Amino acid sequence: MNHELFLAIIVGLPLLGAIVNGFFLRKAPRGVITAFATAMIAIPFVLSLLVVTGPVASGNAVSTVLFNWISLQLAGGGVFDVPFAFSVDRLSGTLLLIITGVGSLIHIYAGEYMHHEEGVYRFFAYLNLFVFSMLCLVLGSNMLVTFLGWEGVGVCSYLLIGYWYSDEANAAAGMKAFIANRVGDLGFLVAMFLAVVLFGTLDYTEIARQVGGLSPEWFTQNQLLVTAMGLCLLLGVTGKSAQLPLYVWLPDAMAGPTPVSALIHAATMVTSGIYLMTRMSFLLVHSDTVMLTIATVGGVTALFAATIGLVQNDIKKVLAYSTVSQLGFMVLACGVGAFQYGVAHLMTHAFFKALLFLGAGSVIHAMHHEQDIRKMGGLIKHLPITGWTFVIGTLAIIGFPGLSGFFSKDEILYYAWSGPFGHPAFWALGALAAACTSFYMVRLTVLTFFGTSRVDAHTAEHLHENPLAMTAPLMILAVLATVGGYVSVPHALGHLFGHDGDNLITQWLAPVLAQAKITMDAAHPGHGSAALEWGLMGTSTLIMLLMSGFAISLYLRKGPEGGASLARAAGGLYTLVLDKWRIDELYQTVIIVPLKKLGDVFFGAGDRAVIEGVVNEGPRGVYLVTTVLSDIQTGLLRNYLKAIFLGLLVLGAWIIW
Amino acid sequence: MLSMPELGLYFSFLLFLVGLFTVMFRKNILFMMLGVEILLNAANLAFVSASKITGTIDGQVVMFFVMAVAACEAAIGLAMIISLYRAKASVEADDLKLLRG
Repeated sequence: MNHELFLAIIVGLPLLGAIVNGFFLRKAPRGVITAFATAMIAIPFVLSLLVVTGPVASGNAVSTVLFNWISLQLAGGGVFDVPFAFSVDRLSGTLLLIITGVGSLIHIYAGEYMHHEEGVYRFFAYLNLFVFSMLCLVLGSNMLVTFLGWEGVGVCSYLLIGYWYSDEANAAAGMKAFIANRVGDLGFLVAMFLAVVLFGTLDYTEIARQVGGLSPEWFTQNQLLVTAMGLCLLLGVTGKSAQLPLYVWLPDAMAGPTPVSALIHAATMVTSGIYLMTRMSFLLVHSDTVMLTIATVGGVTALFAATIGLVQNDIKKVLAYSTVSQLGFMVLACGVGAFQYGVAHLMTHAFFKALLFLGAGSVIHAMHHEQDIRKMGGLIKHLPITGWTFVIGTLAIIGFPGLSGFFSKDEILYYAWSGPFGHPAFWALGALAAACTSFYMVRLTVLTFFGTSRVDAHTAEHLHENPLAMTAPLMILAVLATVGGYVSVPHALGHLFGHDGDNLITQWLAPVLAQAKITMDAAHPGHGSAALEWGLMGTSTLIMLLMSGFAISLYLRKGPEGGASLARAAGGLYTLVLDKWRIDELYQTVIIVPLKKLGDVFFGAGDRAVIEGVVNEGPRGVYLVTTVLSDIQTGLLRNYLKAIFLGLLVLGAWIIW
Repeated sequence: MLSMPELGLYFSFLLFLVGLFTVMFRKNILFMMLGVEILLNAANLAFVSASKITGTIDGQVVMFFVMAVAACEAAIGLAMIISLYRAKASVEADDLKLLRG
């Protein structure tokens, strides 16, 4: 079997789907559009399975060069080549399966969810284009192809957030996402320039090979550039993966259709930062500054976003802040050197957060676009499948023992304390964030699905479970969210599952992370122990149970009023958190307003004075000249004759003298 | 004392000025046509006189061509003036200002 060809097909089909849907199926029936778009993702999923379980699992990366993209003759006589090439190793293989697998499920779901919308061809064209970009991002074998996908997913995210563009708020949210992403993209660009300066190539394998062969003296000499490159990559990550300080776009991105929130803003695009950090792990670990910054950004974001999630009343907003917070966990995992658990949490998060978003979408669909959880309650009677799968998703995200989130989050917390770059402070950040997570997720679930119904009578009449096309993806994801965590069983529990030593995800990603591990082991030996692992696991489970119980006791019987006394007790702090710590307002005052003022200055001095001056005054001058010239044309014969004879006279005089 | 052909040359110059001023300052197109005829004949006289002075026949030959051209010009010009009069009921040059810028 030709796996290189498969790879080209995997990337090519979504692009084909986008083109065909966008240009040729505009008038086609809904069913055709949906089926075609879904097939364009499902076929690559099957092929991905073949590729990943075949050669990739046995340790061979599959790569294919489509064409030579950029070829430059260097002044020194060398050639700088950037091939348009894809390659799958175990890391990108994992992402590949998540993107195409979860992507397929969400396409099926979206076909039903977007049932009543006009112009679904546009929606599916964007969605297919997004998958294509995302595949470029993870499969690119050099930074530039990744960057192409990196920009592509940004564009598609913009297009899909603003899908209902006739509402100005949606269009503005799309632009906000795009601009915040652009700030991060700048970091990625500069990181690429630095890679060329330092290594003369953009190819991941080649950079890794060079880094492996460099002496410690080289790193001491070039510490500044290596650190700069790592920090620039981190800036890119904060933009794309919605970390502090650039996370502000993700909550607003919920303006898009819910399947988009599930696919782009929970499962795939926002995790590309984690992919990038894991991909470049061999370089990042050479700078302690970079690693500590990454861990701090991740930990603070995890806690910060979780606190905002505590008080939100929009079902999607809670999930959005939860996503920012969970991404913070993944970034924290990368920062403390536990890249494999960043990826493990990426995977489990893709399952349970996609499940939660699709569940929320199912509720919103059934409730006729009502998103306020204060107007829900008791929905489990009407939406049993949605409700129970949502409960599974909640249990998974809060880390209920046995479900996927328990394993992946616990490993992150353990390594935040004991990892190569770990510190108890990071663990404290993570544990506090996990406590908040338990509270807001249980609050969300209880307020939406349990207690007394606060649904208005008109909506209640039409309330019924959604069709199978929407519930089937929920059930599949619920299964995955339950069992997905067993790839990262904690060390201490390993023997229960029949493998002593490293767990599955560590084994699976060992070839990718080997180089980073050698570097980290040399400089920072870990300091964990089974006792510590048991202790932290017990603590976080206890915190989770306490906070969940607290949330249930507050909200189950009293509904949304249950938190009122707590809010009164917190006073000003409550309003501050309700206003999302006023970060948007802060950016507005500190960055946007001064920028706008600067823009006004340039507009007055540059645009108005110079550009409009040239454009307006030039024609005015021409007009004046032509007025004089046209006045000469009197139309009177005698004037012309006079001119002719005068001319003759002058000519004659000139000839004679 | 000037000889006959020399006198003819000076006279042709005077005749040319008369024609020129007629064309330039009359407002009636008919008179402007007349002025043009005078101009042409002034040229003819100059040709003939010059032919006499140099003793060659060229000037006199050219005169015949000019006369033929003048006849054509008069025919076409008068025809145009007539149709102009029919269209505008006027032969005043100042009434024709369609080319004004």
